[in-house]
Amino acid sequence: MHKPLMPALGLLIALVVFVGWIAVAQSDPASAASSNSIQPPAQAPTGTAIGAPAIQPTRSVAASDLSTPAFTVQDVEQYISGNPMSRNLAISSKPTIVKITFITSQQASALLDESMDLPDSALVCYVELSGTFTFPGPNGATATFHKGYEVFDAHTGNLIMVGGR
Amino acid sequence: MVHENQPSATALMTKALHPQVRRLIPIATALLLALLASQALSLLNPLVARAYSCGNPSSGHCYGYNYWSMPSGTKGAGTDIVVVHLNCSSCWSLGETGFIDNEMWFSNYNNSGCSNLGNACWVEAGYETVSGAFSTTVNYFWADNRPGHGFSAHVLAQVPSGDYGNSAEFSIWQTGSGTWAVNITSPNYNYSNSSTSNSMVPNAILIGQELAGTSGASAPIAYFTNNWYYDSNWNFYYQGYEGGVTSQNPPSAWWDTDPHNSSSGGVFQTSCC
Repeated sequence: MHKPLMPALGLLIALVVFVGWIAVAQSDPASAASSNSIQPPAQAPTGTAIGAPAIQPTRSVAASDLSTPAFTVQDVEQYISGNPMSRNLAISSKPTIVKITFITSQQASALLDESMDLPDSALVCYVELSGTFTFPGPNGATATFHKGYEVFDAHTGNLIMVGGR
Repeated sequence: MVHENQPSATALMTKALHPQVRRLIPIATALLLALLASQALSLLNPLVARAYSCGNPSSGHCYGYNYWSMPSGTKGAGTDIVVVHLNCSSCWSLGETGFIDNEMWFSNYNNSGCSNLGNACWVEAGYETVSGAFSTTVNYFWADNRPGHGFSAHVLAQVPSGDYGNSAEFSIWQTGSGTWAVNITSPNYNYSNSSTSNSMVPNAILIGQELAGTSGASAPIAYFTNNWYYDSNWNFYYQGYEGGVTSQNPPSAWWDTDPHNSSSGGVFQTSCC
């Protein structure tokens, strides 16, 4: 009569201990941070180069060569046609490329009136787009523009800026 | 060594219980199993992808954040965010600009100079997933939406592996007329730049998570601590009260420790999805 209860009681005790442990793990920031730290990274970080991988370089260019881009205008066109602009809400609007130009970081900074994250002499690829570009902010704010832009590091192909004007 | 006829400790405990209590054991066990299942689902939550609607002009992005309304002319704001493993592995394959982030916004609402910018100007900083043609990476970033100059987002370095599980400090403060310093400091990354030609007059600070897309994102719990601000006279304060919490589930956002009960601005949390 009591025998069916024995495993149930044992299971009950084990469950109480286990649930208690879960509750502590969920409420303790240090414990949670520790458990996060043992998970493998979702994406492997690599160094401290600015930007996110975008355009695949198609030319071999020496690091000391500041004036030669590692990819072509055609490479840029191909990337833009296949990859919607990051953060743009208006994804159904297909933008038109207005201009693709290789300029220095300093020139791009002057063009955008925006601080760049590369040395002034670094070569960047500035792409001007026409279409609808809607960027969201918190608390319901959205900013919509009809001129958009993307800036790439001309040596790595990394995407370093997006925006609208 | 346990003899065959010797009752086990569990058996002795069971026998010692009152019959009415014994009758409750299976019920209690069933209830605990149900609780355990819900707890396990909660723990697995960040790892289980689910569909959501956070990616077009009608639905907008989704948010889990705390909003502090501040006196106009607040000079600076900062928070420490634990860097967690954000994932948005399938966001790009769907042809969407999906991403997920943890960040702080220093904002100016109801400014006529920002009327063409959704009636808001802001400077924001944090870490986010960025999907390119070949991969999705997690990068530090900052962005500004400036009167007369529009929106610009800066994609910075990928988050160094040593930063995961540690706090990164994000701070924005005024350094001159129309100039706002943006600083990111973590154990393995230091960054400073400025939002220039920016005439915003901040009146809000927000901390939390932004989610874009329709599926594939996940984020374990991130903690926001040391929530501070400079008032219009450059006095430094930690936040002393909860603001308004928006939790669109996803993302989820809540206060773990009320700033009122903390000497360093409380502990805010986000997670997804």
